[in-house]
Amino acid sequence: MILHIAKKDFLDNFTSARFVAGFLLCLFLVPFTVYTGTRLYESRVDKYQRDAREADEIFTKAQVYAQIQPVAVIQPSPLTIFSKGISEQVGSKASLSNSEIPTFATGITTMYENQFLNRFVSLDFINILAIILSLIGVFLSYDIFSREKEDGTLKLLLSNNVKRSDFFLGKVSGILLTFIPLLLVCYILVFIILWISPSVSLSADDYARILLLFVFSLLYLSFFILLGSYISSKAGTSSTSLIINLFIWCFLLFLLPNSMSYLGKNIVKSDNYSIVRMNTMDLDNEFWKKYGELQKQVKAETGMVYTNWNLCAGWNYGPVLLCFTTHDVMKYERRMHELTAPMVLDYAGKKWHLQEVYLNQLFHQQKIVKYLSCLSPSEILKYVSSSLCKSDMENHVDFMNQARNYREQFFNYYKENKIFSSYNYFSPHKESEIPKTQEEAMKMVAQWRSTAKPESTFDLSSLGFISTAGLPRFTYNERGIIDGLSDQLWIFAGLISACVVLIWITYSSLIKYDIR
Amino acid sequence: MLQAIDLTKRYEDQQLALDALNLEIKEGEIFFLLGANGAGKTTTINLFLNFIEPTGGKALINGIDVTKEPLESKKYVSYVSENVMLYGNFTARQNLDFFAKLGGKPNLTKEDYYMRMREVGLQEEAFEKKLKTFSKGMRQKVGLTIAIIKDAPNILLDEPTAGLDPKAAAELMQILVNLKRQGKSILMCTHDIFRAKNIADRVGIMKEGRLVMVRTRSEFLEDDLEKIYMNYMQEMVIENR
Repeated sequence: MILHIAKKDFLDNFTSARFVAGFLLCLFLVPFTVYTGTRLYESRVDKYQRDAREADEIFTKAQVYAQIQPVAVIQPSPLTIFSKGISEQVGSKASLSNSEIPTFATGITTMYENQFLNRFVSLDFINILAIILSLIGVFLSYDIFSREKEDGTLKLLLSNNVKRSDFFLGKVSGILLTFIPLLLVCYILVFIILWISPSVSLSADDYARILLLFVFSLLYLSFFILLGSYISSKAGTSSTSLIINLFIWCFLLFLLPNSMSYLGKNIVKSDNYSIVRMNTMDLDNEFWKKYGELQKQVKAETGMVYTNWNLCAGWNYGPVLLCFTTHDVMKYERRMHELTAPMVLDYAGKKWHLQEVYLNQLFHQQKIVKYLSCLSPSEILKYVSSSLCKSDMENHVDFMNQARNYREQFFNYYKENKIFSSYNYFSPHKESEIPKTQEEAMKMVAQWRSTAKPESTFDLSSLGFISTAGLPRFTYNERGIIDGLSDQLWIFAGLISACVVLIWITYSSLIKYDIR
Repeated sequence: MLQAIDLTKRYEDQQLALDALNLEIKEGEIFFLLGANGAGKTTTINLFLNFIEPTGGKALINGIDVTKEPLESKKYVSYVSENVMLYGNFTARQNLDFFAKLGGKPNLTKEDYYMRMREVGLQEEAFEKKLKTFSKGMRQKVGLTIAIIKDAPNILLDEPTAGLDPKAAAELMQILVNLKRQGKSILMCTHDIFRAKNIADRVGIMKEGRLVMVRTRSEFLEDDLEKIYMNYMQEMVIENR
């Protein structure tokens, strides 16, 4: 009996003008949004490839160890075409210097460079589903019971051997069945666009995530169908039901998330980042004071009065790529690097404590806003989708944590292998090649000048490159589906609970429904 | 057979909609229930179909108490409402198919539906047309076909001729006569005294929830039903003043 009623409702809805109108709207909006998303993804892939190449060149073109300040780069996921999440707001690379542990990523990618153009909300496939499909859901379910009553078919239907529970389940299943082909068409359209885009390739893991996204989209739609059904069972007429449904739809999709975000920001305040920078500047001042003391100490220790650098191509708390300089100066600079490099790392750690407090404030604020805005099912859909599409905050935080861990591992390698105290940390010369006197040094400069390209004053490539084969390299380990979903489990459970409650109260309401 | 034994309905606002109705409609009998708006006619039908719970007494369909066994009792009754809208996006045949399956007739063929629609006088070209293009009279005929297809021994009709043109109403009455000949018990609530005089076996007049008068065919033909009915209506108007 349930199936019979569901089949009737499926056919009735499928041929209705409101469904056809909604279907055509999806046919227009989905390809448009996905095409735009694909273009954006392609530009992010281009940028990633450039960044990855540059990050690799830091290693392959290094002539001294102090030149290597690694950069961790994260590859954009094609799933961001489905849900952008915060991927447009946060960067995709982390610069890992010895002097600072990165608070934020850099390299924000935006496709549209013209900042003078007004932009509406960031639209992606999931946003379209959240807005359009829920609206179609409301339009199909607002009169699920009231229309049957108004048309007299409810009496006729229940004058037969039909349980009210069967009637309820049949009606709701009928609308859900109507949505399955609509959702499938939307997803197939996305796949067609992705398949014809040469830059997009999906892995088995991506397909599994998309499947979960499909299931979750269906659950989201079920919420609006059940909500519409409940209101229909309570409202006197279909027109009243439509007005209430549309008001609740606007409230849940627009008013609630925005007001909760505003409320959350006011409940949990965060410091201004400029205050954090000012506090870290105090530590910088302290560092430079100690640095000055160290200089004096090392000068006294080595008897150095005046440091004459014949050729130096950089600076990282001491000279970097220091060439053709006398042994006594080199010895002094080696000692300085040996003492200052651990101190630089130590102060980076001290500054990180301040940065971490600030970051934790932001995370806490984000969590509160998330908890509050998850009273809206559309926000739940967006959070779960961005988690499945690897574009949520947790994925970004995971990348940044992995980058920070890698930084620690990288500089620990320097410490353990005594690279900070080696000449190769800052000079391309082996100890035996370092000139003893200034005359010897000048001869070496003249010889280098004769071999170097005349147009380039600082072409030091003839001095060779260091071997970086043994140095740790950054590899990003993606979070698995389970890890990603476990963060969102409570909101997922919340939406399921809301659906169960709606089923129960609608059923209870329908049992008492006055069908006269 | 339809039976009401002391059937009473008092709403939550204490309004007495039906006051101890006692009624029995036998097989092959057409019973017309007449009365003004709010007299309790539709309440009687709603109680027989268990759409509302009685506050006293009981309604029996083929001896089955509709309150105790509502689903079982509905197997033995068909219903035709005042304004049969049905499903506008479906054709007449699709509507019949849907309600036939609900009524426990899952194996009927397209030809069976066509045959029934011919019986109630629907034109062939209407069989596969969407119902939203139908006139009220045509929809009413489809509604009656649904009742016929269910082939239940009892038929309840609530103002089925309201808004119908005389020809359509006459056709509908002829169908009811045919159904009576097949042994169906028919309870029809109406204001239409003219149709009652034409085909009713018995007529009851309801006033303020009470069945105030019952006449057999021979009695109401002899006493002039129209006059009796109008007298009751006038009494009610005077009482209300």
